[in-house]
Amino acid sequence: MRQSSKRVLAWTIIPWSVVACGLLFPQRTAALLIPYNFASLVEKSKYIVTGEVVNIRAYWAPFHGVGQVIHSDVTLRIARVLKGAGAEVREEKELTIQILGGQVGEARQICLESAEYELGEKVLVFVREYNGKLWNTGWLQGKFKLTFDSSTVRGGLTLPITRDLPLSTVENLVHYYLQPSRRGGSE
Amino acid sequence: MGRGPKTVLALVFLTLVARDSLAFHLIGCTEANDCDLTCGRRWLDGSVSYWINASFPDTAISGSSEEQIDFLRCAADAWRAQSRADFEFIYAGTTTRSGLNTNDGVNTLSWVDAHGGDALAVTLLKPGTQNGSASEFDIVFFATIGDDEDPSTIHWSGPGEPEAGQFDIWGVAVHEFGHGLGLHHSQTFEATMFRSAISRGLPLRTLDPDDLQGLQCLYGTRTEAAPVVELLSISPAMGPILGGTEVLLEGANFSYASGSQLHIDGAALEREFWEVESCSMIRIHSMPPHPSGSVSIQLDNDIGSVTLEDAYVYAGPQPEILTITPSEGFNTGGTVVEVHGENFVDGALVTIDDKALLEQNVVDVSTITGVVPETLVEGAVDVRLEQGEDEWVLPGGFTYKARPRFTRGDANGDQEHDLSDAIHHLATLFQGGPEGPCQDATDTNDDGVLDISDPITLLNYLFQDRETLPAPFPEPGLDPTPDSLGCDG
Repeated sequence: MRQSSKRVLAWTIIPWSVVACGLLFPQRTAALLIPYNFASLVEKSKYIVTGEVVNIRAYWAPFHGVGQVIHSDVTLRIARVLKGAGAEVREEKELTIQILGGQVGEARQICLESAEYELGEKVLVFVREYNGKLWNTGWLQGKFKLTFDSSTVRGGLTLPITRDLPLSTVENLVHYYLQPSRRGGSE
Repeated sequence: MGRGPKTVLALVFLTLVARDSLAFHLIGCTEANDCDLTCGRRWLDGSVSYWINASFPDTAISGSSEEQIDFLRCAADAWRAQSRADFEFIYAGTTTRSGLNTNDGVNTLSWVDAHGGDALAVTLLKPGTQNGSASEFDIVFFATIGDDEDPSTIHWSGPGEPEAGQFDIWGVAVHEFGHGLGLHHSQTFEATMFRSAISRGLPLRTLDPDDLQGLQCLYGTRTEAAPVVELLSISPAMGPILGGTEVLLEGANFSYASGSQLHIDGAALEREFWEVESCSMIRIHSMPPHPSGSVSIQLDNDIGSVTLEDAYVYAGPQPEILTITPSEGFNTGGTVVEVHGENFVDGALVTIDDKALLEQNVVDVSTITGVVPETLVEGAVDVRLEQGEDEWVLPGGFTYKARPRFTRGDANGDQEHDLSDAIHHLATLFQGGPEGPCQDATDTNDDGVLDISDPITLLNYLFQDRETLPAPFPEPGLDPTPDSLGCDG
């Protein structure tokens, strides 16, 4: 029985450890405070969902008391919940993310570190609360495009997911990092 | 703000994120491209004024207001001093304004008591009416980062180099000023304009070729001369040979000490003795001891290398030899001596009768040790000290004696080898008899020890037909093997 348990554990952890460490997320130990690799994105995010962008609304608002800045609320229709599922965050529900930048009338602001969204776009997002709103965790590092059929996550060379991966693989990795034994080890 | 003519604002963030190892050059910035749109926006006249609100509150870490201003001005100046581009930030003075307001006509840099979340600092850029132009910017440095529930104070480091948990004001400001002049983020990991900071932001002080390419892409070239590090003056330019003088170096394009190396007369000066105080000031806390004369000072950093010849003169006090102990020894050399005096420093050279003392070691300012060299001279000779341009002579300070010649086994010194030699040594060993005139001669087996084995060796030679004894034998000569035994001849 014990051997069987060990075997299951090994077959569960080893493949994902190899994938995670070897293929996806080159990690810099120089990060001092917030590690924005894949593991920490999973850890720091309140919600991880896929969905389609169904609305974008831009407006002026104070930016943390230091000035008026254009913000945009990006609303997703949730397709899958990889982390944080609940009554309000589940399939077919909507989730709104606040980002910096947008266009109000003729006024436009561009935030180079904020993720960019388009209506109808299918995305995988990592979000957490920031000043009472949901923001992409790690700014643009917390948003990934999906292919049209939502089967593949588009990675980026300077993003935590550095290349295209099947969504199922990313989902398994999220679950891997959500195991209690994996938490807290990302730094 | 939002109802004016077409207003395009660019918010750019330096975020604290883990850097990926893969890198690209600045996005789309090639000569064939429209640089205005791909690299960023530019100030049409190639310069822009800015004001500083030096309000970092933790002055123990961030430095005084004056120091903060120095660091921030260095950050702005880096974009001209380290480049060939035709662009310049112009420092306009201090201000009490803070925050982000790109409609007040004042380009400011300030610290704000606000939570940055994932951002250490933010630059807000307002484009001008002409396509691809910039018209105003503001930069803010945040007070905290991290989770809303558990924000972490950003410890903004000013003087020296940031310790663990701190971020370099100067380095981060170089990045933000890069946005202020209109640059986008780079995808080159090593670039100052990469979106995140490593090593506490310190390397951001030095622009990467990718940053420079982007800058020139926007503003063109003002000079063909490559940027250089410069040493322009040193104060004071003279000090004592014993060192300890605090010295200020002024110049240009100084970066950070851990990424630089300072050499005095070709010897690297250890980090603990100097620091970069600003892009134009290095403080040497304590000049190292050095023989008298002028020395060069050399600085190497990522920007280049510069040597200022005859930059500093070591002068006085006069080194002197007072005594040498022992003051006499055999002319076969090997006598270990201590030279006592004043104001000795590394580089000192002691000679005895114009032959250098062997294995010289300057123990401290008053002691030099060494080994007397071999010579043919007998009698008193001068001991001389040469230390840089200084010289000191102790006339007749050391006396060479001729090493006595002896014959091995002649324990009683009668120049014969017979039973009386063995008896003499046995009497010395067991009956308290007087020692012979030469211990080396009595050491018949030349093992460096006077014991029963010596008369036995002699008796074997005399009566057991041993063919010979150790040299010198049978003719008198010098002891070929060093030992502690003496010989008065």
